[in-house]
This record gives sequence, C-alpha cells and structure tokens, in this order.
Amino acid sequence: MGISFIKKPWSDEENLACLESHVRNWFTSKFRCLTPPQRFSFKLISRNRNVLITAPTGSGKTFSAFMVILSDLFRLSKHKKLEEGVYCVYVSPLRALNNDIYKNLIFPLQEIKELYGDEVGEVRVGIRTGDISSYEKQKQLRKPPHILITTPESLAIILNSKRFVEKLKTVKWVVIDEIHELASNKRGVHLSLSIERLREVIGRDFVRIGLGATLYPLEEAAKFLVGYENGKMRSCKVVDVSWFKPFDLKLVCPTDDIIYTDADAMNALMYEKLDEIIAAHNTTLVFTNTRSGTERVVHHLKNTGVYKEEEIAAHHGSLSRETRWDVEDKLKKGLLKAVISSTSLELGIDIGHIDVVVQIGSPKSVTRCVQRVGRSGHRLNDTAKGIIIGMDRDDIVECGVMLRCALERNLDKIRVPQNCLDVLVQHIVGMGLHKKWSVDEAYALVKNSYCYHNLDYDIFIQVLHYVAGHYASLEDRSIYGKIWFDEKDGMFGRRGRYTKVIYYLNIGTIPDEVKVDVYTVDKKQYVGSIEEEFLERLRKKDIFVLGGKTYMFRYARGMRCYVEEKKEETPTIPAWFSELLPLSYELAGEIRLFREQIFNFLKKNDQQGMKKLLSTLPIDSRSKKAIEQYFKAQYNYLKKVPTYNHIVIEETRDLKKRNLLIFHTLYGRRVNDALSRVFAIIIGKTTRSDVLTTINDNGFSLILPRDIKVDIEKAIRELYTVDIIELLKNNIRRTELMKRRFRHTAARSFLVLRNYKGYKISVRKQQINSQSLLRVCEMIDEDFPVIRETYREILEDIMDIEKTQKLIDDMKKGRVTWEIAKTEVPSPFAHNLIVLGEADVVLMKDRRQRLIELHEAIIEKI
Amino acid sequence: MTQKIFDVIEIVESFPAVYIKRLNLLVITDLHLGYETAAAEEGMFIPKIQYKKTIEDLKLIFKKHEGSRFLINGDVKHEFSETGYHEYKEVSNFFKFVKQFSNDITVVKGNHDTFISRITRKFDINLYDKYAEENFLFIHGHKNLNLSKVRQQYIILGHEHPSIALYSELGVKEKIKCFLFGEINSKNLLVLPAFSYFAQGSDVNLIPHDELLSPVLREIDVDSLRAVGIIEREKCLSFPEIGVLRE
Repeated sequence: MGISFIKKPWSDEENLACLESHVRNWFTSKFRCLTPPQRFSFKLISRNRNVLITAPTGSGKTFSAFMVILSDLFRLSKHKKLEEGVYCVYVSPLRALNNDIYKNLIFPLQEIKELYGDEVGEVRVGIRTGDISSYEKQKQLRKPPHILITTPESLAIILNSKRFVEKLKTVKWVVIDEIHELASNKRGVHLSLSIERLREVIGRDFVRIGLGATLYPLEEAAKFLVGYENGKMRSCKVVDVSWFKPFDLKLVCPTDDIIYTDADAMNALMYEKLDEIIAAHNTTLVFTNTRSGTERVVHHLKNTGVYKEEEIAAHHGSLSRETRWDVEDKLKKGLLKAVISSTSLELGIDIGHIDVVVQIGSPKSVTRCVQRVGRSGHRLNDTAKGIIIGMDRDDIVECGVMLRCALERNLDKIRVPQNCLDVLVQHIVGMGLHKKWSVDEAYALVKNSYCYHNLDYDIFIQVLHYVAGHYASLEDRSIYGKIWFDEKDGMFGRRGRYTKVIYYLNIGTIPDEVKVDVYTVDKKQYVGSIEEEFLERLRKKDIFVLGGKTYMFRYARGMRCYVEEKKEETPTIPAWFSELLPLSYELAGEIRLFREQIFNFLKKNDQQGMKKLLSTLPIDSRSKKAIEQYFKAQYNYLKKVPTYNHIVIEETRDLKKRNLLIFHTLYGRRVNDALSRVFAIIIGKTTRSDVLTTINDNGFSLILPRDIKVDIEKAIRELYTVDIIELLKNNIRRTELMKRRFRHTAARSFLVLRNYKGYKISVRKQQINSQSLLRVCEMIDEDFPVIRETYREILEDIMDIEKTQKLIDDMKKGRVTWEIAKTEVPSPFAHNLIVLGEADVVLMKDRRQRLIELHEAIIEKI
Repeated sequence: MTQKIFDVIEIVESFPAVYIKRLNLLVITDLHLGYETAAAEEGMFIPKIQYKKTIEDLKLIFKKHEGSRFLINGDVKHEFSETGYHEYKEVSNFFKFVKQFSNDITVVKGNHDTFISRITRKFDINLYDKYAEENFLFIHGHKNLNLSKVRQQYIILGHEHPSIALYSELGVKEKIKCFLFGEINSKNLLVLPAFSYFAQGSDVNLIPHDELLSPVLREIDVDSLRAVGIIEREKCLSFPEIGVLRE
C-alpha cells in the first residue's frame, strides 16, 4: 500500500453519504457545497485511512477533518456505545489555533445535538494545554472530552499522567494540524515519538490525519505523519489541493535605476509603492523579514498622515502575547488597513480577510513565499494575490525566479531532522516513568517514528547509558540517573524521586528565548539588547549597529555582551543577520540555472532569446531592465561567468585595498557557512594567518592579509583530501555558536535543567554552567550524546553538511568545475557580499553609497 | 626547564602549583571540591571528574617534590553552607590522600571554607585565616589587605582564578589559566591559578578592574602584572604585561 496520491475527488453526494443524517443536514444547511479538501477527506476518513491533506488557509480544513469524526461520535452516542474516553486527539503547534479550533467545534456540536434532541448524550470537546487549571483537569478526568485539543508538549505530559492516560485507550483518530510547521523541526520530532508512545499505550493502531499548508515533497511529510509499524511503513493517502486557489504574483521594482538611486530616494519610492498598494486594497499584509524592518515600516506608515493610527499595526515575536492577540482580533473584524509582520503571521490562524500580501525584499524560499501569499483571498474562490517589492539586484533575480517557481508549483524541499538524541532523551525518561521496558521493545518503538527509523542500535544503547547516569560513579548515580539501566538483562525503568517533576517541568524543545544585554566595556553603560542568535554569529572585532550607533564586539560573558563604540566605522555584520532566513538549496539551483541561460544568450548576443526568457518571469518592466543591466554589467566586465555547474573564484581587492578571494558559490547560506569555514581553515593554515570571512546566499569572501599570496589550486586539492566533518567540528568547537547550541541541547537532554526543585534557573546561569559542562563532557567522551547531538544540529540543521559534501565531491569528480578570475575591482555579482555588513532591508545611506562607488569603479574599467 | 617567578618560586612543570624551595613548601589554591554535587543540587548534572583529576595531578606533583610540606591557599571545598555529606566525604578522602605524601599540611581559609574546621581538626591539619612564614605571606584574597602594613616581601594570593582570554579571527575564544605576578609598592605579588577544573576564571585581560573578584587586586594596577599561562600537563607560556594584552 505505502504512500499513494489520490487525484480524483468524490462527488459531494458520495462524500455526504458518509455522514449521519442529522450531521449531514446540519452541514448542508450551513454550506452550499464541499470545499476541495472536503471532497476527498470525508470519504477517506470514513474508510479509516491515514490521510495527509494539504490545502491553503480558508479552505475548510477543520471540517474536512472533523465532520466524519463528529458523525461517528454521534452515531456511537445514538447507539449508547459512546464511552467515557477520548476518541480523537487533535494536536497543533499553536495555542491560539487551539482556541480557534475549539470555538469552531463548539457551535456545530451544540447545533447538531439540538437536531438529535434526546436521542444522543453529550459529545464533548476539551482543551488540554499548559494553561489548564487543576479544576479543569479534575473535570476532564471525570468527564473526558471525546475530542481532546492539545499541543505537542502537553501530549507528552498526558502520556505520563497515570490516570488520564487510561482515558486515551479509546482513541481512534489523531489529527495533526499545521504539519508543515512541525515536520522540519525538533518539535515535530518530539511529537512523532509521542504518537508512537500513544500507539504503544493504547495497544492498537489508530487513524492518523495530517493537515497543513503546501510543502514538498509530500511523501516526506506523509512518512513523517505515519511512520512504521513493525519495520514496515504504514500506508497513507495523500491529497494535495493546495493549488486550487489561483495565484496572482508580481515582482515590482520601485525605481528605474536601481543602482544610482540613492538610499533616501529608494526608500521613498518603496514607500510610495507600498502606499499605492495599501490604498488600492481593503486590508494589506506586509512582510519585511526582520523585526527592525517591521517597526520602521509601521513607524513610517503611521507618520504619513494618510492612515489613522489604529488602522496600522505591527505583529512579530518581540511583542507581547496580548498585543499580538489584539492585532489578530482587529484583523478578523476588518479594522486594519495594513498589518506589518516579520514572520509570525505565517502561522495559520483564521485572521479574516486579507486582499493582498506584500513582501519587501526576498522571502528566501518558494514554499515560504507561497505560504505567505496564500494568506490572502480568504474566501474559497478568491485569488491569492502577492506582490514582492525588490530592493536590490540580487533580490530581483532571486524573487523573479522564485515567483516563476511558485507559479510552476516548484517548491523547495523540507527535511525531517533525523536521530535527534536530545529529544530521544526526554522520551526515554517519559517511557521509564511509565513502566519497565526491555531495550528491544523500546528500540522498536522508537524506530517506528520516521525521525528515528535509521537509528543505530549502538547509539540507542549509548543514550540509555547517558540517561541512566552511567558516566557518574556508582554511588552518584542516584543523583544523575533518571532511569536505571541493566545492560546485561536488557531492561530499564524509572529512577529518582524528582524525575517525574523534572520531566513535567522541563519537557519541550523550544529553548528559552533570550535577549543578550549589551554594555560598553569601559563605562559599562547599557546600550541595548541583541538576540542570542545574533551573538552566536559574532566574531572578534565584528562591528554592528545597535540603536543607531556602531559598536565593535569585544567579548561575551554568560548572557552579557561587551562592546566598544566605534564612530563612523563600517559595520561588518548586519544586525538582522541571524534573523534572515537562508535561501533554500533548490531555489539556489534554479537561480544558477537561470544565470546560465542568461549568460548563454549574452555570449551569443541573442537579445531576442534573453527577452523571451525574461518574459517568463512574473516581473514588471523595471525589474526586467534591472536584471538585464545586472547581467550585462557582469558579463562585460568579466567574461568568466558562474553557471549551474561552474564556480568562479575571483581574486580582487576591495575599495580599502584589501586582498579578497570571492567564491561565487550560489548554493545558499547554509552551504556557504560550512564551505567558507573549510576554505578559511585550509588557506589560513598554509598562509599562517587569520582569514576573515563574510558569507551570504550567493557566495562567500575571504579577506586575506596583505602581501600574502594564496595558492588556490593547492587549497582546492587539499579540500578534496581533508575530512570535512572533523575540520568543521574543530573549527566550530570553541565558537559562541557551539557554546550556545550546547546549552540548548543540554537543556533538552536534561543535563542542565531550566526548572528544578521549584526554582527557575536563569538562562544566564544555564549558560555559564553549560560552558564548563561542555569541557567536562568532552573529557569523558568526545562522543558524549549531548555533544554529538550539538554537532549534528549545527552541521545538519543550521549548516547543510550533506549538500556541502556533495558539492565538494562534485568538484572532485569534475561534475562541478571552477576557474580563477583576477579582477582589479570586484565584479558586480560580488558587490552585495562586500557591503554585506551595511545591508539593511530598508536601506541605509552608507551601503547605497558604497554600492555606487563600486559600480563606478566597474564602469571606469569597462 | 623549570619556570621561575621572582627567582625563589618555581612553577611545578605545567601544573597550577608552585614550589618554594626555601620553605620546602608546595602551594596550590582553590580546589572547590564538591562542585559537582552543589551543581546537581541546582539542576545541573555535571559528571564528577574533578576529584579524580585532582588526585592524579597531585600524585605527579608530589612525586616531583617528595617529602615536601603542603599548603592550600583557600577554597578547599565549594559549598558555602553546611558541608553536605558528599562534600564532607570528598574533602576527607582528599586529606587522607594528601597525608600519604606529606605530614605537614596547612590550610589557609577561603570564603568557601565555612565549617571546614571540623574536617581539618580530624586530620590534624593547621587552619589559618592567613599564614606567614619567613618572608612569605599566604592569604586567600577575598578580604581587603593594606599592602603598606604587610611586613613580608612576597604575597601569595588565590581567589581570583585568573586566566587570559584570547580571541582568534574566526571568533574562537581561548581561555588560558595563568599565574599573575608583579611588583606592587615594592612587594612581590603572586596570584595562583585555580587548581579546580571548574574554576570559572576571571579573564584578567578583558574585564575591567572593578569587576575583579579580589578586593586586593581591585586596589592595584593589574595591567602592570605579567602572566604565565599554563596549558595543563603540556607547557607554560610567558605573556607580557596585562595592559599590553588588553587591546
């Protein structure tokens, strides 16, 4: 059976026939016809099939999942067969969404019950999350909700609540909503193990229903949803109706002359365009990619005097929950003219009517673009309308190609994280609390999850040793062990008085979000705060902007960062650098292909061909012109061009006369992060000097010390022979990135607790502790599970070690070729990389000035 | 080649320990035994390796200077409050071990050494708030000290856990434990590195003067002091004045 796609829907009649008469009557009294996902789901779910349904927001997904379930529950009640237990577990990552779903179910339940009158008893819905009171919990124990709405973390806790878990024995359906938000991160991994544990507790299988927005490849998401049963993949029907909404996509360029329009003018034109769009629509949703960008746009719009203060609102993670709910509420009521967001509104809540989605700068992935644009046109047959405002030349090329991919339904791939050991630790503790296990039994259960189906037995044993505290001496295991583990007998079970409390209070995969306070070194003045993620990225002497001033990073201690003010120095890293999402690997490939095609036309001087290609992109004429000029400038200056399988390494000097090596490797930042480090180490070794690097999605640059000659060929030859992973691990080992990720992993693995014996341990303390801990764990075993997982997370989830290795392998085998080009000033394609530090979504004067200078230098040379 | 400080004090190989020939005295400081137990009480489950490592290192140190006297310049134990059971045991075992190699043991009290008198009494170990012998003064360093009132020439301190922090271009931070020494008001000052593995050291070349832990060091010009860093069991590295390292 396996994973199969269902392309042909059933008729409305066939679907409705699956429902009980009163339920059917209620439905038809409310809705004229079925929505696309409903035309598949009613039939499939009534046949007890595992189903994955992807559909855009506003397409009746809730009912597509719940109609049959409600129908079955009412039927059981009619025949007096409805027991006091949970029949359906509905899981979604968002608490707010849970509240919405709850409300959406209460009404149908009440109204349908009225149609039945005395024929049926109560059919209950209930929510179970961290917020629930003990009174509610008691109530749920006495009268368990038949449909239980919960979050991934709460489900893991329920599995360990001795009495309530008994009420789950009647579960027949598990619904996972917003699956696109879960399938590619640790929260989803955590959930998948909870589902397998649920399967074990109940003793028989149940129907799995997955709902989500568009993603690719669907097989991967389906595998994540259903997992394995005794080593064999469970079957799943996949229904993809995410495309029935027509898309109206356009990329616009605000200016005629993207290079020489200065910063202020560029901003003004961008806002002009934005105003135009907002005025022409009822409610506009604007994405800016960064929180600072969001704030600035809101500030501007409120100050134009065109709109009323209360018609414009910001929505992002740094705002309080209340503020965000307020905005969402106003949206639903149609009171807002424009909502500006960084990324939070991507998560699916029924937020009312949006006519158009505007994106300032690139959303960096096709999938994200489609998901964001899909928020508009909320009624069923509305068109989803999206406009991207391109802010620089790379943006325009990237977005042009992206939009074409979107129209062709050519999405980027999701990747389900594999073998996350820290999440595994949490569940082993939970399992131990539940009962005694044989190692084989537990191993088999874990492997049923798609996220662990390749887990090595040896590693599983290693993790068991860790959870049992076997790294400590015998007499200390009472402190360290959360399970006892007898390797000879092959058994493990619970241990420790506080283990249950530790489990309850520390469960979860989201690390404590932290702001790092920034102080000046000399006067210890507080200057502001930065995200921990940003601190991770800082290198010695990096210069960044905060609160309008420039500072140089000196050192960090715990959760404090010390800086020195550096007036008028150019920043080396933009403040939002960590916030910006990386370009997806697949889209990078599409852009490389596009580059190759354009360059081919230029080589053959085929104007016609080029114009035809450009017209396949949904972009305005200014954008077309900008792209044409960009490629022509590059080609006229440097005949050696980077294409799909060809890398150009440019030896040049920047305007400060520093020697630069620019690698035009358009593979996305995740690959470039790894690749740049490897090159920096290799070259640094042979030249016996430090090599500064800058990276972005389109490539990376190495800044070499003066008078040092680099043998690139030799470096590349060495690249083919070194053990990349070892090299990277050694390099990453002492960076801030490693220290902080280790803290997160240590917390997930219960090595460092966030909540212990009634005390919340401050993140600052956790951080200081984690640093010593890292050293100690390495001393015990370099492969200590927590360390192993930290490296894995950095190399696989943050960077892309797989694709990096593939690229190097391709280079070795000649499938990817490279050549060196010497230039006196950097070629146009390199400009963005060089002025990276000064970049900002809403442009700063300096950066534009520098780009102009660079460009002038080119023109002079041509 | 044995590294010397002030000519009369030897660094024992590349351990955080010194030997004063004139007094036939081995000196270490800041052991912080029981750190892991205290940490576990706070929800941080650091594997217990400090004790084992401490013993291993001391065996080698004692081997090099057989029959010498022994002084710990404070913070033998870690836990502030009543000595817990595990810590009590660990400290007792520690003294039992040391007694095999030296029968003249002195402990100068550090700020973490509350209630340690119980244990030192049991093992017949001398316990002082500060200890002076010939031209040497040994104090922990957690209390104020009027340098002008000190009669001895050489002042040995602990408490600070000094280290040098160096950042490489790629954002890599190296922290090196070090001896800090120099001439202050015509006295010879020496701050010993912590013997403890978990010593959360003060990066003396980075942090501002008023953030130093020791009130004694806060009063002096730390930037004029020099440092010898130790890469444990490997080698010693000489550094110039702290002021030079402070970029």
